Amino acid sequence: MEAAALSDEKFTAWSKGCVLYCHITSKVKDAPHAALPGEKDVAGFPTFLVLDAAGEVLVRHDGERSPDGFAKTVARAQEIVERRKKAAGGDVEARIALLLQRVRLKQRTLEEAMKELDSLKLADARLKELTFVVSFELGALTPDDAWTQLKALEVAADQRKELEARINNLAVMEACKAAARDVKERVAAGRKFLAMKKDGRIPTGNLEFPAFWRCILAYAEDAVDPAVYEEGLGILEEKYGGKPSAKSSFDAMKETLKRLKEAKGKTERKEY
Amino acid sequence: MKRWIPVLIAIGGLLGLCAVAAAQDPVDPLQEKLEKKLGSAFLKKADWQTDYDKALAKAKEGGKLVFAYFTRSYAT
Repeated sequence: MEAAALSDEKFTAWSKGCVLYCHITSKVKDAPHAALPGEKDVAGFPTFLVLDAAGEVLVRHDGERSPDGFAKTVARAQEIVERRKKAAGGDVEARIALLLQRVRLKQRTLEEAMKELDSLKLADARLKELTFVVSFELGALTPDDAWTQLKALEVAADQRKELEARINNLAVMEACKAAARDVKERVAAGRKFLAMKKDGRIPTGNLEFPAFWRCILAYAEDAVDPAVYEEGLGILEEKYGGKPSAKSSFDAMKETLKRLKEAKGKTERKEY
Repeated sequence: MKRWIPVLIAIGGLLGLCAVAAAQDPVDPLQEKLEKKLGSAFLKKADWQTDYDKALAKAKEGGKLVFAYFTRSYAT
């Protein structure tokens, strides 16, 4: 990536509109600002953040690592700066949007966020909706509880869609924590995800979407269910099949599908 | 006895050299890796700051946002 996106002429030209800062964690004794990644909640490397001049995180980059992807993230940060100006002028919706952004970045505790919501003197339905969002974002609700509560809430359609996506992404990430290391956990997660899929709960995140389907494939393989395996493989292939680096992985999955179909055929013949 | 004198001198010399080498600061491999990372080509292609305080000061002065890249050198 350093030799590609960060060395691209397009990146160099675009970067003149902001200040570029590179933090290198070195483990060298007494390195300056060694605590910075911890302060900014940097969970792994590489991480890209957009900060204001006071060092507050405005946006965490979660899109494509390309000059265009970085430009989109900085544009989102600029929108937040504009929103701050509106909020300072008393715009309640801008204050709500800023609060939610800070909550999502875990820059507010549940108590602080509730206090800020109370100070906005909102109508009951809106307060109820935002209390739900804040509680979910700050981990006071499990994804499954959030899903149930959201069904009963009055929320605008676009907001509902966004919340549903966030809830489903979080549900997948939580179930995948153990699944990354253990096949049995992966199969169990796949069983859960298949139930989510039947309920129309499909994640949208860049990490969550493939993880969701890979776990379903693990479950389908374990349960010798070629139909489910074929569906998952088809969806993954449609999205990622064009990548040359993924070819061997897809070839292996196709072999597994072939094996599952043969095994299923034998079982059915025996039953007959 | 005389034939051992050169051997003893040689051993003494070797011990002396070892002592000098031990007294010198060992090269810190982490520092070496950091310096290698700081010399990366991508850092020269654009106007990267590696000093956090300077980056924030520059952002304040120019009314700009900071695009921060967090990476590591110890694992390379």
